[in-house]
Amino acid sequence: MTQTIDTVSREVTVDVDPDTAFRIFTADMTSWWPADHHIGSAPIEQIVVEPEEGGRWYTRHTDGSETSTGFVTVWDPPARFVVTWQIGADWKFDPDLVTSVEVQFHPVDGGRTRVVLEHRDLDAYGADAEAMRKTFEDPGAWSATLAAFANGTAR
Amino acid sequence: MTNASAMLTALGDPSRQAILDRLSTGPLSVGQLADELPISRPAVSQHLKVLKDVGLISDRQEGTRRIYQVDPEALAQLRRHLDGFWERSLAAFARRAARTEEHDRSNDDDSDH
Repeated sequence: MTQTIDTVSREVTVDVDPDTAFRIFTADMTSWWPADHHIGSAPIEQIVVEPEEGGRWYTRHTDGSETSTGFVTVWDPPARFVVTWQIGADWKFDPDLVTSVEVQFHPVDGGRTRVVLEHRDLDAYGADAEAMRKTFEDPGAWSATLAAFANGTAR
Repeated sequence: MTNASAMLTALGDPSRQAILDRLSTGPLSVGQLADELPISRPAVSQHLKVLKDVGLISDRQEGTRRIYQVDPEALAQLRRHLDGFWERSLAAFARRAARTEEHDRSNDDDSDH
């Protein structure tokens, strides 16, 4: 398959160690995520990345509703994690749209951390959605979570 | 923003992905696409309309045939959208991490007293 949209790659170096950087990035995402970037009908109350493979990445809103962004596919703290990004038109969760975001935390001199983010599979949604579903059919938790999730949040 | 999201959703369909993939190698007519892909000609036309509506492809008349091609600027726009999004987000993350460091330092200072 030809690559029609290149991977988006961004990095930033921060003055904290990888453990701290990983914790802020994942467990405390609410504290830094741009507040206007959400898909709910009410402001963000909390953004949750469940700390395990198959865990959900979702946002709880101030009106009690929840919106989902994707799922954790790799969880390897404090080195890296990979989540799916399944946001489609009008910022709705779309179970058939599967792109992936990998974030790596590289230790650098002086107790600092180079954070490298890659948003991939930007042009292979359909094919990857099927492949990724197959990958995750084995661990029952993923299928169950995905199904429950799709039922609960799909348009 | 909405435009980029619409493009992403248009690409969520495997058939449309296949069509875009095929068009990325060069302009083709509906008939050529239908011949090369396991998709009926009416279905190809429908998918082409969706891709055209979100701006991912454009078309032109060539004799009796309508030729479709990928709009590289649209793909670039989509990529810029995500690029800008992550740039802003990582910058916000870095500011948050910097505050943590100051906070930790001030805690250290407190414990020295």
